Amino acid sequence: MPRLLGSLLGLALLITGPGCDAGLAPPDANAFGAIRGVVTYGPLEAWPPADSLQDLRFVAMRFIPRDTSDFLQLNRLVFSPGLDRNVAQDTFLIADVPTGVYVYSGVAQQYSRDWFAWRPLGLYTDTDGLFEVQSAETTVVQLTVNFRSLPPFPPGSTPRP
Amino acid sequence: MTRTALLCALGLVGGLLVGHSASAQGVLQGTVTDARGAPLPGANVVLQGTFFGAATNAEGAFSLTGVPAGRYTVTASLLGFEPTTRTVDITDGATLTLRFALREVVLEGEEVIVTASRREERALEAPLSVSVLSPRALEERNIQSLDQALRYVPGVQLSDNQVSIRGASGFAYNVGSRVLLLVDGVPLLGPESDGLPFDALPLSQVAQIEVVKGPGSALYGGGALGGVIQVLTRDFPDTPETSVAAFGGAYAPIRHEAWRQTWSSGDALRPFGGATLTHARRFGDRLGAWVTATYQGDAGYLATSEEQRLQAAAKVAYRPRPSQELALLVSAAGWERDNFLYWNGLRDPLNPGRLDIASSDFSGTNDNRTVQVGIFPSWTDTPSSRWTYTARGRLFTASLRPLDDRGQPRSTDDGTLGFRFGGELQTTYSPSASRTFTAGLTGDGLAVRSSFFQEDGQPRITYGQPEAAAFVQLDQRLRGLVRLVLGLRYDAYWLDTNETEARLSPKLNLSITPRPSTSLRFSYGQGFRVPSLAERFTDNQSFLPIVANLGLRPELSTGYEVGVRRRWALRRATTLEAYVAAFLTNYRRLVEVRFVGTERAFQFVNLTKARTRGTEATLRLRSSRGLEGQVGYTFVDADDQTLDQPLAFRSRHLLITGLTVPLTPLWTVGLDYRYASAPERVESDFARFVPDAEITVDTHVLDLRASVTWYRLRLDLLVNNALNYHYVERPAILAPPRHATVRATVRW
Repeated sequence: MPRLLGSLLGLALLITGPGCDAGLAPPDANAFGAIRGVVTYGPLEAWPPADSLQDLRFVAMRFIPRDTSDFLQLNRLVFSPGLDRNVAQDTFLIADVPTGVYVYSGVAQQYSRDWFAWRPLGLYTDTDGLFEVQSAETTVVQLTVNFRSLPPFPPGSTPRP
Repeated sequence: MTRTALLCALGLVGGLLVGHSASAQGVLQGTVTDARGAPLPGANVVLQGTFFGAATNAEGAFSLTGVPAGRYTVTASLLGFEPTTRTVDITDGATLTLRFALREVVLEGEEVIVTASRREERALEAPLSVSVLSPRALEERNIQSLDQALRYVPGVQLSDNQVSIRGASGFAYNVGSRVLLLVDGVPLLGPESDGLPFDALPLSQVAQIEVVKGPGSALYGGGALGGVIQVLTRDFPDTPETSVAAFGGAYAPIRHEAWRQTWSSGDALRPFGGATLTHARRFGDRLGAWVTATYQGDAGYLATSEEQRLQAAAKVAYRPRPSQELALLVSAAGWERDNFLYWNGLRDPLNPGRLDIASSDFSGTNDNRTVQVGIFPSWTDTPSSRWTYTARGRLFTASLRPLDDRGQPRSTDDGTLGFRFGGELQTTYSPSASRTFTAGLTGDGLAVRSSFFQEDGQPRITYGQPEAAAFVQLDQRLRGLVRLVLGLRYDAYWLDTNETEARLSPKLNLSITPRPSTSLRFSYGQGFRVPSLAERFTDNQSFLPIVANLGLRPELSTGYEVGVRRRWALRRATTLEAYVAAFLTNYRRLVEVRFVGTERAFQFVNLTKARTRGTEATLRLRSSRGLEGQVGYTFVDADDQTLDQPLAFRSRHLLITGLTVPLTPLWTVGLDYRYASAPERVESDFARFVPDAEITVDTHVLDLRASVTWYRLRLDLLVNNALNYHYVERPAILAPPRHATVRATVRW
């Protein structure tokens, strides 16, 4: 019987050996950075009415959206907490941002309760709109929102009045 | 064509029903002992080629009354003994007494199953691949629900409570099972989602669980697209039996400190426990009953995953004559549960995800109270030695009520209330020992009111999808070695979109038994599944935008399998059984959830033409001294032929091993090890809004167990996931970490 048990134990160790690597683990902490931003709004009197400001955030995407339904790729974008409204300037900080290049970023407004009723108010345009988040570093971006000259959406379409 | 098939089945059933007539009868009684004269309880005594049979009582005695006069071949058999056969003449009004003395032999493992052909047959001769789980296997592993049990079946994989047999299913948000669940022959699927109600089953009173692999709609109709699972409940013991089992244990803290820090209870042991009370007995020769009640509490190993569960079931059977039985099975279960729906990413998997965007607050958790009640009456009559019939009824109701912030259940207006009801009539006729006809009629209906099914902004009440079906099967033996089974079933569904879906499902099975220890089999069968109400009508924005799809069509499957089973007798009353099979199943119109750009929402859609093919090999070792071993390997090549890439959420390699070793007459130890390779592809739409939902790894789970039996007391110690290996069984939910359980059972 001891021989049988020894053989069985050996067999058990052989087949379960791969399981000793613990499986899923927290991602490497070095795979994340942060984004700090400053947004300047103007003119102040042109802020949209409250009922068309359901939500207001800075959004940074790894892709260029084709339309608003593309927004539902939350694994490929990051967004800030809700931004202040009716102010001249606001700042935000997004922690735990996956490292990599973000190609389309800006302040986005949800103008009705519809899930997809979003539009950009102002885009990050420095360095052709691209910026990179690096490991354990904070990337600083500055944006300006001009309510009199909103960027086109989808990208490449006719600018909105 | 379809009308003709229906009329033929009706005619067969009707013709058999009117054929019942009285005749001269006698009594056959006697005893079964071993070679030294010791009584053998539990031995089977059957009249070959008839439905007459009995099991011996504690004194080894049996009695068959009401046996029509005539000449019969009587066989007495018991696992571990050589069957013995006699030829007898039963005469009118006479009592014939027989004494069987069985010789102990190498254990042959004569499992008897019922699911493959809707009647009893030896597992070795079954024309389909069937795996069987015994009550011993459930007890040794402290299994409390069916989903836990199925994890030990070769070729079966679970994603949350979704069962996949040989790659038939991926992860479908717990909606629309592609495997049919039966309890004592009665279909049991949730009324609104066609999900499998694992918690409503009385596992403490299970005789065995059978898993049929491959399409089975020719016998069982819709839902049996990828296979059939049947739970068979126990018969009643000759002497009263009572047992009390209590168990308790705890989940170990998660291995990684970075994860534990994200939850205030991350470093604590998380307890669980419960108790089960059962009692079973006969009241004289005609009445029997068992009752069972179980309570379970679980603190959960994730934030907001606590659960309290109460479940009770009872079965009563009355036998006015030895050949008749009126039975009623009632099951009720209720639980309050924090449902952990998805994690907050791989950096924070112990907490549910949260998404506060777009003026909405989506959460990866919800709390609800669920109550499920099932009532299943049946009537079985064996009017002659040649034929029998069974009438079964079913009513299954489920209510789901969300809990408010104070933990109080809200109205069912905010949840779901559903009923599934129906009945069936089945008859089996054996004009000779080599030929058996089985035929039947079934009918089912649904009524569901759910806040998830919206119509003009109001909950939709659906009296949906009534179904009627007729089936017929011929089971023919040719020269004793070859068995041919032909079956056909016609199903018609009436959808509440004023459409009718009808399916004709054929099957052909062939098994060849050149030696008593060897069988070869070929099977062909078709399967289909009509989409559930949840898949067709869910229209909701609570968790993510989903819109209804009233045009959803049934899924279809066609399966082929060839297999060889061989059994060897080894030394010391030990048998080794090997089974090797190759299978191929083609699927059409598989239903999957997709983000549909034109709808700007998720939707269940008919998308995929697919094919699964592969091989399965199992090796089982069993001895009469309690040694048991099992190795089962399944290779599945699952292709999405529409996208020309692997089907999502299917593992290519599945391995199950198990070993139980009796160290001494008192002590037994065992282990189980499961491996599943990481899916080659994960469906990415879920990962659009759940962080890291696309991340998977191989599964390696090692379970250890030890038990000691001392008089009426049995103690079990189990360590599940002993390696504390972290993996997912479905996207975005960590599977249970290492947890230890102590269980004490007393029987008298």
